Parts: sequence; C-alpha cells; structure tokens
Amino acid sequence: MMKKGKWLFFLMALVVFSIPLRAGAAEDFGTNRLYGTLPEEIRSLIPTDFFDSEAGSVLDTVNVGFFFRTVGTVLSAVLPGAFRNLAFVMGLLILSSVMKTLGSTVTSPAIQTVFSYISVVCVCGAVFRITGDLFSCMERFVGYLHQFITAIAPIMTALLYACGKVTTATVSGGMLTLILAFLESLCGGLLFPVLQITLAISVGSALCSTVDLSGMIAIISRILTFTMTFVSLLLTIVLAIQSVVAKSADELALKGVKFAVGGLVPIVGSAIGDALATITGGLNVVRSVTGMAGAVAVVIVMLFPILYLAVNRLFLELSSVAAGILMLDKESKFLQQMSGIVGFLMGASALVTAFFTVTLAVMACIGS
Amino acid sequence: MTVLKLCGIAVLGVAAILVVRSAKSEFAIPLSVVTGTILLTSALATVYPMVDFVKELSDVGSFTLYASTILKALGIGLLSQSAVDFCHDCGENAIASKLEFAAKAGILLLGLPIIRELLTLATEMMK
Repeated sequence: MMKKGKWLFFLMALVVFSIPLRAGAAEDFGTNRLYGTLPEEIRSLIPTDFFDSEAGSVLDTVNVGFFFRTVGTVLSAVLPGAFRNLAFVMGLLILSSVMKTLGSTVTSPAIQTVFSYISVVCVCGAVFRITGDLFSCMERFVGYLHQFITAIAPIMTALLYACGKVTTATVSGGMLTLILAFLESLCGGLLFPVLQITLAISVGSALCSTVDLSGMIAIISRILTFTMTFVSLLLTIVLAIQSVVAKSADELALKGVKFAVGGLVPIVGSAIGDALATITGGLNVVRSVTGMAGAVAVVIVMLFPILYLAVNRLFLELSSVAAGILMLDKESKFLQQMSGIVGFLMGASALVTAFFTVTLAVMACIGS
Repeated sequence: MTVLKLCGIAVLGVAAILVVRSAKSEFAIPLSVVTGTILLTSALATVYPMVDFVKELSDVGSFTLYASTILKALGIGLLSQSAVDFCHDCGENAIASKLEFAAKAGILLLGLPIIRELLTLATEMMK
C-alpha cells in the first residue's frame, strides 16, 4: 500500500514538473511566430519578444507611455504624406481661384462655363487620386490584420483547449474565424464598392452643373451608417451571449472533472485535482499574455491607417473651408463630400479594430 | 509696362481710332486690332512672372499636369475672347460665335488627359 502510494506520488510529481508553468513557454503553442506575421511598418513599435514575454514584462511594456509613444511615432510617419496632400489640394484651389478671377474678364458666358468646368475637373482629379491612395492604404492594412488574426486564432484556441475550456475554445475560435470572414465580406463586398460608387457620384455631381446628385449621396451615407451600426450591435450581442454561455458550460464541466478525479482516484485524487488546477493556472497566464498582447498588436496595426485617414480627413475639411473662402463653391462641396467618404473609411477601420480587440481580450480573460 | 502706360496707350488708341474713323473708316479696324494686341501682349508680359511662380510651385507640389491645364485654358480663353471681341466690333457675329465654339472645344480638349486619369483610377479602384 505504501509502495503504491509512493509510485502514485512519483507519477504525480512527474506530471506536474514535466509541463512548463512559466508564461514564457511560447514554443509549445507557437506564440514566438506571431511577431513575424506583423507588417514591417509596425515591427519597430513592438518588442521582438512581446508575445513570448512573461506577464510582468508585458505589464512593464504596455503602459500609458507606450501608447503615447506609439501614437507619436505613427503620427510622425503619417503627417508628412498628409501635409503633401494638403499642399497639393491648396495649391490647386489657389490656382483655380486665380483662374476664376482672371477668367471673369472674359465676357463670353460659354467660355466662363468651360473655365469653371476645367477648374472642377482639375480639383476632382487631384482629390480622387488622394482618396484612391487612402482606399489602398486601408485595404493593405486590413490584409495585414487578416494575416495576424489568421495566425493568432489557432494559438488562442489551442491555449483555451489546454486550459480545459473546451466549449469556450470551440465557440471563440469559430467566432473569431466567422467575424474575420464576415468583416472581410462586409468591407470587400459592400462597404468598399458602395464608397467607390459614392466617390464616383460625387465626382459626377461636381462635374455636371445641371444635375444635383447630393440627395443620392445623402441617402447612401444614411444606409451605410445604418448598416455599420446594425453590424456592430449584432456582433456585440452574439459575442456577449456566446461568451457567457460558453463560460458557464466550461465552469460546470471543470467542476465535474474535479469532482470525478477527486472521487474516483483513491488517496491522491484531490491532490491530482489541485495539481491540474495549478497547471491550468499557468496556462491561463500564457493565454492572458498572448491574448492581451494580440489585442494590443491589433490596435497598433490598425492605428496607422486610422490616424492616416483621420489626418487626411481633417485636411480635406480644411481645404473645403478654404475653397469656400476663395468662392469656389462646387469645389468646396466636393471636398466636403470627400471628407465624408474618408470618415466612413475611418469608421470601418475602427469597427474592425474594436471587434478583434474585444474578441481577443475576451479569449484572454474569460474564466481566468 | 506699368498700368499707367497701358491706360495711356488705351486712351490714345481710342482717340486715334475716333479720328481715323471720321477721316478714313477702313483704317479704324486695323488700328483697333493693333491697339488691342499691344495691350494684350503687355498684360500677358505682366502676368508672366506669376506663371513662372506657378510652374515652380507645381513642380514642388507635383501637380504639373493640373497647373499646365489651368494655365493653358486661361491663355486660350483670353486670346479667343480678344479675337471674338474683334469679330463683334467688325459686325461678324457668326464668325465670333464659331470662334467661341472652337475655344470651348480647345479648352475641353485640355481637360481630356485629366478625365482619362479619373476614369483609369476609378477602374483600378473597382478592380
């Protein structure tokens, strides 16, 4: 009897000490590969061992100063490009204003109309090019985000399984993949095409003086706002319900397992139960660190396009005001509409960022 | 040439045309053309440094295509307006309206590369 007890104790110790308890045990779950999935522009902002660090190290790195420094670095990267765009548009507006002033000496109304048309065409062409660049920037970063989420989703799911949260792992892993696919379809299939159509209608409205399409643009804007609000609400409700239900199911299952182990295994059953709790506690730390690091990485990846869009939107608004002052009414209205479209792009970026951040945070914290 | 000199030339030109018209009316129109041409070329010469400045600005700001389009359109408009006014002065309204149409077409043609660029960008975005 004593010999059996000793063997059981020896086996228990072997099980406990064979599994690494440190939060830095990243190689088993592949968290050390996450850094490589980040885009080049972002890697300088995040330490190389960010996903492999221990909990204390992550807490030291991610503080208010870190976020302010990151925002400052990203702003210093986006401002030069945005200022160039502003100088480009302002230069054209001043030139158009001078043309309008000199052109007013032309008495022929037909030639004056054509002058106005050429001025609007030039401003539309320039702003369309800038807006096209903004679309490309956002598409690129959504692609980077897709790459990162595709890499972190199986890791978080595996960690949840290892922590004994089977239902949460299944639900959250599936949820993350579903949100990724849904938001990609929404952006690629609905949002971007509708915004591009709105852009084209704005250009057409600016060029055709006899047809006013601003009413149509207002309707499209309202539909887009409603769609994005509805999608946000829907995903929030689904995420909340599934997290609560999965958590309850896992807690019940874990209690059942502990009771069974404690009851069925003689003498050392409760000790094994406590050992399992210690092991899962260690894995929970790894899960929390990886999840929160992933959430921070998502915010940093999308910070670049959001700030770039925000600064360009501000400059388009300024240009619209300047055009109004220079008595270029059509150009002013067109710039105002472009600013609205860039605002929608910002909203979509923020929506995507918020959902992935919240989902990863939920996966990191649930049942801890 | 300063604005004062241009005003002097304009006033003297008008006075000369009135005198010539009463003596030999067939010389009034060529005199009117000469006076108008002197005034226009002097005005364009005054504007030339501004054109240079705009060119420098467009090279720095990378909007050369747009700046050159606007400047050429302005040039065509001002020149064609002078010619249309001359046609009206001679009583040739039909020629004047056709010249106006030609000027409109010329200015619209200048905008064609930009419209083409707009359509190309739009097509790329749709892809």
